[in-house]
Amino acid sequence: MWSLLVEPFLEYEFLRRALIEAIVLGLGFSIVGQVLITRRLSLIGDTLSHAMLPGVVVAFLLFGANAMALFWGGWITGFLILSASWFLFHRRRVEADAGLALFAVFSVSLGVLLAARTRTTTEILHLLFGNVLAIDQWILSMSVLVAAVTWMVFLWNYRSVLMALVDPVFFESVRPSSWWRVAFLLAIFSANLTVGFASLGAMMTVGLLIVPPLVGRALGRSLFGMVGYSALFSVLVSWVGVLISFHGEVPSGPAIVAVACAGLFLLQFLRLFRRARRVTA
Amino acid sequence: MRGALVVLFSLMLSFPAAAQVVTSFSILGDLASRLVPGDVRVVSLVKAGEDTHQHEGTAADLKELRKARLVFAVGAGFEPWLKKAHASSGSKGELILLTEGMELREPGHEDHAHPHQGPSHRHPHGGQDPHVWLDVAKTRAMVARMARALREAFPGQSAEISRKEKAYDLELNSLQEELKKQFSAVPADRRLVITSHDAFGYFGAAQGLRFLAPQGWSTEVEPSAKQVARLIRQIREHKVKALFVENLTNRRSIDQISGETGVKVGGTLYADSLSDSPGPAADYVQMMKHNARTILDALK
Repeated sequence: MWSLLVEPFLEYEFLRRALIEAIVLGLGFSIVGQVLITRRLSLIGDTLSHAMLPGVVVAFLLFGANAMALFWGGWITGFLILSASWFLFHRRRVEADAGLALFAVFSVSLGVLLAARTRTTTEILHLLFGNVLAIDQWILSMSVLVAAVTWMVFLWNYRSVLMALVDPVFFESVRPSSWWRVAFLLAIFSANLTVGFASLGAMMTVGLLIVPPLVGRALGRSLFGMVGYSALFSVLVSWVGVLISFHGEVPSGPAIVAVACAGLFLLQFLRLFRRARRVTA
Repeated sequence: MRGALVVLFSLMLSFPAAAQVVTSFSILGDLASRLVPGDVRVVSLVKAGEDTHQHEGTAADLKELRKARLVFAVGAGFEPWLKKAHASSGSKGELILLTEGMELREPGHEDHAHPHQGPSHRHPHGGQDPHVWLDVAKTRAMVARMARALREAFPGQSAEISRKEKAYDLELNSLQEELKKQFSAVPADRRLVITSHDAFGYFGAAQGLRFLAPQGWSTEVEPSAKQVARLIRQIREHKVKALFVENLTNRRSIDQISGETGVKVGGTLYADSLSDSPGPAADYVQMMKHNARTILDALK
């Protein structure tokens, strides 16, 4: 049992790194994902993963396939899209998801035009996307930094976050946010997403952003409980997913996401079952 | 104004469109440009530095295909987008798949250290390795096939084409001899090389080297944790000295393996594309020489 579950991690550094990266990102995502789900923006990760194209193309043209440059390009693009759609949403002219879709698709079209004009290809986006089996020191440090800042902001503003989650409409009516504060939060959102793309790739980022927070919601009684369960769950599925990828010879990212989703389904099924028994008893 | 338009229009009509040959990617483009008669243009759809595996047919491709007298492609699943683009462009130029009738590497024929690895892991192309141009002998066969098709398409200039073919084949022949001589000096226990995607099978078969890669033939499929782990173990066991990245591939996996095993990355190899013009692999012969030099330096 030991040799099956633990030994691969002792023998190979790349497996250890995969696990550590998933844990670190899972911690940050457990907060960001919670907010996104409440705000009905669960698919924001998928949208932004395509919409970062123009920034990545510009970064590539200026600095070549430099991981740091691509990261900044993606981050800044994500931040601009989020800011523009928030601005529209805030003035109540457009719904949040429509605003986001608008600017995201605008951004993608700009990126494709830019790529065509400069004789690069849209496949450049794949230079930004990482793979959980190839986590280098730089992206690991960046992930720790982003997760730490996210948690600091969360703990500092615990009450506001709680209120914003429980009743966003009320929250905004009693407490108009200053623009720099919103900008800071959006920058953190964009950083979480970009660091996810750059380390785990788009699909796994979206998976870890949404599935563990859903589990947290199902199990947690308080906001801390939700975030805690969510972080714990992402650690567990990352570990199991990497092991399946190792023993079953399948790609790691999809394995982790599939395990996470299966875990969520199982949990919901058990809860349904228990509720049904309680009703009949 | 109207006069100017009439002049412009008649100019457009009278201007003889230069005959053109289209190739799927930069390496075939270079081969073709060595063969075609002087007044024929060669256009490569996938330019140097772009990935043919992941290309998608564009409107510009259709335009070029439509004007083509002949279209050259590797086949064997290397350009999955081309057939459709060729058909929908309404091109009258014949599409010639140069690997047709050629003996291709299959997953079962690979000399893997772990034979239990099923074939399902390595053939996103439909089971055959398309990277034939990395074996000079196979490139010479493709050049001969191209020249034959060109003579049929431009019968008036067949003497010129034959002359060019002969000169180029001589050049390729001496390249082949040179590579053979260089690699025969490599000791038997040092003939294991790691690259980022599994493109060098033909090169390895020709020079008696074994190539392993964390990624399959195509650049589309992610490796599993097991594949990466097996590679690391093989590098440790066989004391591999040579670890390379290719142009066009994400080098993160190779960097990770390099960090974990302490083997330095020996340089960049060119497999699926030439480099831009003032680069180390501006044409086919330079590309092969650059790859050979890079590998030999690391194996020393």
